[in-house]
Amino acid sequence: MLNGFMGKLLFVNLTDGTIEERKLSEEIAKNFIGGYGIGARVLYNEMKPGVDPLGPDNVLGFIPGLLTGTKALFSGRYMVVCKSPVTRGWNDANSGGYFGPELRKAGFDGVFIKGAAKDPVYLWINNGKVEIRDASGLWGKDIVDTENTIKEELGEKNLRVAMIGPAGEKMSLIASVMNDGHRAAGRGGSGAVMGSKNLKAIAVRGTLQVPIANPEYLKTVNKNIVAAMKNGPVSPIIETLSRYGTGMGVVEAILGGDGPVKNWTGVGFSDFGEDGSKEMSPQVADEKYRVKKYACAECVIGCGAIYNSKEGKYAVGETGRPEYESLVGFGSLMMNTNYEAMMKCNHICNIMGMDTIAVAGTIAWAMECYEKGIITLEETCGIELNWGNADAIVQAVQVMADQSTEFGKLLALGSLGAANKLGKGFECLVTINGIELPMHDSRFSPGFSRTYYSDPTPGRHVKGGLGWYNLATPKTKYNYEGTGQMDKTITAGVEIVNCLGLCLFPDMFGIKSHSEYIKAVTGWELGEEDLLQTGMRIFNMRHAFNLREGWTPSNINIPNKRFAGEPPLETGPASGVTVDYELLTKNFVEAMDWNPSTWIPSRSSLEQLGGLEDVIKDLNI
Amino acid sequence: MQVFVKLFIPNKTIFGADELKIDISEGTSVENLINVLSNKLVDIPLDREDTTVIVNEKRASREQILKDGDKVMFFQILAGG
Repeated sequence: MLNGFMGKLLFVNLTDGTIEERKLSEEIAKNFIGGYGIGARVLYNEMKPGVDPLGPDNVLGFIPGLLTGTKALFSGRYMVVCKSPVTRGWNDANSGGYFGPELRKAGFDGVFIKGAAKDPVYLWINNGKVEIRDASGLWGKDIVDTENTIKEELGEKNLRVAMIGPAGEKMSLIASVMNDGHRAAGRGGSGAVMGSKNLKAIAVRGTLQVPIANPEYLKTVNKNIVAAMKNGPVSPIIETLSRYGTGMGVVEAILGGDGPVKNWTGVGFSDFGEDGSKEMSPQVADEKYRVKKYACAECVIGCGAIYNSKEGKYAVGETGRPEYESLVGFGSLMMNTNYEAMMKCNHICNIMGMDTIAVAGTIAWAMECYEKGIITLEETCGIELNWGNADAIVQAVQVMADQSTEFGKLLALGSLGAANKLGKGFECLVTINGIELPMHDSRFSPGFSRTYYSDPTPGRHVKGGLGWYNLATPKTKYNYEGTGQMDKTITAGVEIVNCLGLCLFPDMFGIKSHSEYIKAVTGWELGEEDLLQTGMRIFNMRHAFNLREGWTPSNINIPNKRFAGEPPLETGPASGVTVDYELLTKNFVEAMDWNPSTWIPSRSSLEQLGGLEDVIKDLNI
Repeated sequence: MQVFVKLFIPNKTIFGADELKIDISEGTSVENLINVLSNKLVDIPLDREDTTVIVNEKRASREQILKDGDKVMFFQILAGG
């Protein structure tokens, strides 16, 4: 028995209905630990390069982190992996809630879906027993209805579900995988891949236990973390996060230059303004709408909340409090100041299963095109997409979700897909390799530009790099010399946090005990250097997937360089800034020991990491 | 002379106000203002180097001398997510 693991991976082929359990090897467990680490290793083995992301040969994985399902604090996360139909390369998306722990307790360290069903199905995993069930009655249902119907059908109210909504069924490229009502593995079109397999949902129920090497030590590590949170210098910030959620600093971010404005063409103070951001104040919103607190599994912060928007034309009833990304996306990015409209947009995305970042980025692109006369009223099917028009924004989100109009079908392709179809609007895109950028401005925190540009999952704010570090280093953030080693070290660290199944927030506040948790759960003694190596192994594994797909630095799709400040903003906190993202990337590539022209890793760097012998062979290095 | 310091959560809650009016003398720098505020504002104590200072909507250095009526805000990593 391998402590810290259930020891089994589940493979389900929906084309022929075969269900196969495979033993998780100790080598893979040790080298890739969990989450998308194990996911990248498995998909590299199971997939051939060049497959259609929306065809049956794509493999879709659901993998909890190493600590997920244990009592380790903040460990409730799982990851969805596949080849992305958006970037056409490696994809992983990460979600909290309770699905991840339940999947492990149901007996598996990961589930991998191959093939495609002829008719809609869902998977039922109940304490090690696996069944493929008819989902024709679920097709067309939203997230809430789907979960309730499955619970009723199976007579099990304690099960957890990861599922797609109507957006995923229609294979919209902005479709997410949803769980627990308002938790999303949102990015990269994993919901579309699930839809392409005719897989509506995976329902799980588990009462098994993840074997723990040293349960007493695990309790001690937890106690130490709680003490550090309560008594440490970061306790006021943790209290604020607990009270107001990830949007606690949203006004500050928009005015300060972190949150983009007007599809990255505007400035917080002068364009959106203090009045514009008034309704978004977490204090104002919380007093008005808050019903109760929400926390993911094993979280003692609880940054979520349930709001009730019960009056007015945008009323949706009880709904998950919008997170920071969604607030900036449906707020300043589109110049919208109506908080209830933001909640409505967020709610539609949640129940229909769409990535709020991609939805917001796509509509903001369309608004800029509309304002500049690139897209006409006829092409929007009558929606007047002027900046800040809350009615129009809500309408656009709705038609994106149900694809009830030609414009809705267009937007469901994402902004690059829509621009390609129209043959225009490329100058207004804020995408890298087709994916809309998150709500952290790389002109304000230049490190994000390297991550957005060259991470194996481009355009992410939850991947490693200097972006978050730059927010805390205002004096030196625009100095681009010698950044490689720090960038590499932080990147490896974030790989570890994610693949352990931990939330990034405590880590950002310096609350972390990775080695201690690994020791308590698995019994392994891994020091800082070992974790750095493991993080780099996982990063290179994801990168190798893309290299095998033919990715090179020269074929990364950058329609324009707005994200790097070309041309620079004329006013505001990032005025005059042009970010040298190429130098930041060059520094990172050097530190990684990759070829500067091809980004192919050196043989010695991969040999040193170990566990990548087949990659060395495939790359012929 | 007076400058206006914009407050965000949690300081906004603690002070029950959107901004603080701070009296300063001629020649007061951003660094001097931070020293005055560091015991008052919850934002400041982590590490003063962590904080981005924005004066009149533009990023400012620690050495910048403040003028009467300047609007100051501090931006910290706590925002976002």
